[in-house]
Amino acid sequence: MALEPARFKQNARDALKDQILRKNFRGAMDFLRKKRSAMFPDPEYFATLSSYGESVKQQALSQLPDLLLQLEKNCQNNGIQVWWAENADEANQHVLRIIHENSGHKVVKGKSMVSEETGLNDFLQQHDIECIETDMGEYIVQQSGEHPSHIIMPAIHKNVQQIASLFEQIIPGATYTEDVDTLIRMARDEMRQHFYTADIGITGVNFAVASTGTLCLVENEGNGRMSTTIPKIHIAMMGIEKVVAELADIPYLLELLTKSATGQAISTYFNMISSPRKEGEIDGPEQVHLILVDNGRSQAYADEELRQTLQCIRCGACMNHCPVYTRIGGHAYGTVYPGPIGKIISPHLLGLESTQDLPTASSLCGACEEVCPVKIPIPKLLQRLRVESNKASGQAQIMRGQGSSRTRTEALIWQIWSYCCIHPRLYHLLSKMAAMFGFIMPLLKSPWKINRAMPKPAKEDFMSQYKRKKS
Amino acid sequence: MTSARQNILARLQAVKTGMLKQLSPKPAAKQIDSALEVFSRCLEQNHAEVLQVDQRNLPATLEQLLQKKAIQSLITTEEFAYLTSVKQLEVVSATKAKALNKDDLFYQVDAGLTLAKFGIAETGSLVLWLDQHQPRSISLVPPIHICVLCADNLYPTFAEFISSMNMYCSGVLPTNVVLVSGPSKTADIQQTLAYGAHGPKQLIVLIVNPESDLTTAFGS
Repeated sequence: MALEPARFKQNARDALKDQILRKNFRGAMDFLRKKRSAMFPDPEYFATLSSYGESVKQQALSQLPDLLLQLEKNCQNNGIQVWWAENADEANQHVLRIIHENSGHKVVKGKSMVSEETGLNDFLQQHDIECIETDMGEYIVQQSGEHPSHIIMPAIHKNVQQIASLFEQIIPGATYTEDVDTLIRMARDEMRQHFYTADIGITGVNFAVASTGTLCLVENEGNGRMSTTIPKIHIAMMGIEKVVAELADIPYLLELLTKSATGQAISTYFNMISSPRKEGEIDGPEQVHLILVDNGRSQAYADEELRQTLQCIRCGACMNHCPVYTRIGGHAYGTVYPGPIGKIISPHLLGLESTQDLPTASSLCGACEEVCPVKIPIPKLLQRLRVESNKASGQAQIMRGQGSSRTRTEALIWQIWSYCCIHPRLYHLLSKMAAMFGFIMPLLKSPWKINRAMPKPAKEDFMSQYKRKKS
Repeated sequence: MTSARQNILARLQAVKTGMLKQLSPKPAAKQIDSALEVFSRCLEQNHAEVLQVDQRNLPATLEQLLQKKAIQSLITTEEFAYLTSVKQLEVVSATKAKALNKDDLFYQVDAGLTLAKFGIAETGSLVLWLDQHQPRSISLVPPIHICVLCADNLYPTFAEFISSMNMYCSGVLPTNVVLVSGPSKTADIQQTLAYGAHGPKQLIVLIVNPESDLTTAFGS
């Protein structure tokens, strides 16, 4: 399944017709919303905590280059090797090089959205490296030949029957069962051999602490711990915006993350890795590598407003509360990050050429901003991206693909419109004509009419009514 | 590839981000009235079994527990070496070995027994301090994890723990610190909770009563 954001409109229409998909998402979103709101019974507490979280992230971003250098230095002092990648391909090449240098042959992966972003699985497969996703949800989507439809719960679009059929096909000796405990046990047993035999573990990073050179991983299953414990090499991939200054920032961000994401006071495991195996230790990876990935983030960074996109801690609450995401699901977006956060981050990762429709898929209802644990003004950023994608040429370069949804006809129509609006006589004349010939409107052909009734102008225009009633 | 590094840094450094924004006020420190109670309740809510024992009874309680859970093979650290005297129990000492036998770890051992250096009451979290004294995998790979915590070492919140952490490591963190707040779990199949996804299916926490000296409890 290829990721094609340019097909968004068609994908969305198809998804809306898929009743099973809609039911799966509806159920899952209701579940996650309820769990989150139970964690924040006091709106005042949430307001204080999220304001604090926002300021921690903004402060970190305001000194991002310094923090990255500090992180690099402290990681290196701890024995962690640090690599930098400007784009997806460079990140993948680093991974491949590290694997080759160590004659690696098999990778187990904890959850990493950055590695989804770089298309690492396909890349490694092309280079004959076996690469197994070990997060249960990621495993399910990988084995189905799909991509995650949610950043926290990757297989949320599937119901238990679909997963039962999948396991029956792919796990040797498995019989069809809808008992979730049995299904999980089957996957666990299957994955154990992979953990046993893999020589490389790849994970993401939830937070990186600059002052101590510590990589923090949040998870429930234990596959993240397995991937960072059993194989002899651990490679962590992270977006450059994940760095924070101090260990003292972590408890607050962690609380915001787990409560917002899955409605848990804390995840089962919170893993803080500060070095590879040291002298005298008998397990853990002999090498730890950290790959710092830019991939379009520095573009968002350059603009004060767009920079707020980088505050994101990837909890997924915005998608759980989005009326659009709930109805069309994650795959329709055709991007690694779906939902509201996807709509504001993907244009930086991929350019507006292919992603220009995404910011328009919003009623700007504001639910995303309301639940965002770091207060990203998503509706405002959506509007900003709409402006960017309609920008006339010759203006300052802000974004890849800016102005790509601008058409001459539409631009001309708006020019005429604004001309009429600032010339009262012409405006009144046109409103009068609209009132006179308004009966034509319902007869016109227009895509507007596909899902809505065509608006019909009043029989008498506003100014005429106003004058009449005033006298 | 230093050029990627230089390019990324150059792009970021070119941006005038302005004055450091003042941090917003932190939420008030949470009042945890009975740390032990909160700690146990959270762990139990997260499907862990919690037992409280007096120090002198710890060896006997452990022995009973191993029997009850039908554990025949146990991997543990030095503190619990005295359990070798238990009949019909094979004890693998993780700290005496030069390396862990993967086969044992993955397919033979029934349970891992470890000490948690600290606990965090608010979230019911055990703090595993993983270094040369305690390997990472014994609390992770076997299907049962038994963890002993001295009630004295309980912090009310993670934030308070972090602010005292420096005391224990003077700025250089151990290789790995892991907070464990229950047995391994997943809800990735239609939001249905299942335990034992990849890590232990069972977590049993023994809280040792703080009154007397801990070392005696470990039979040394």
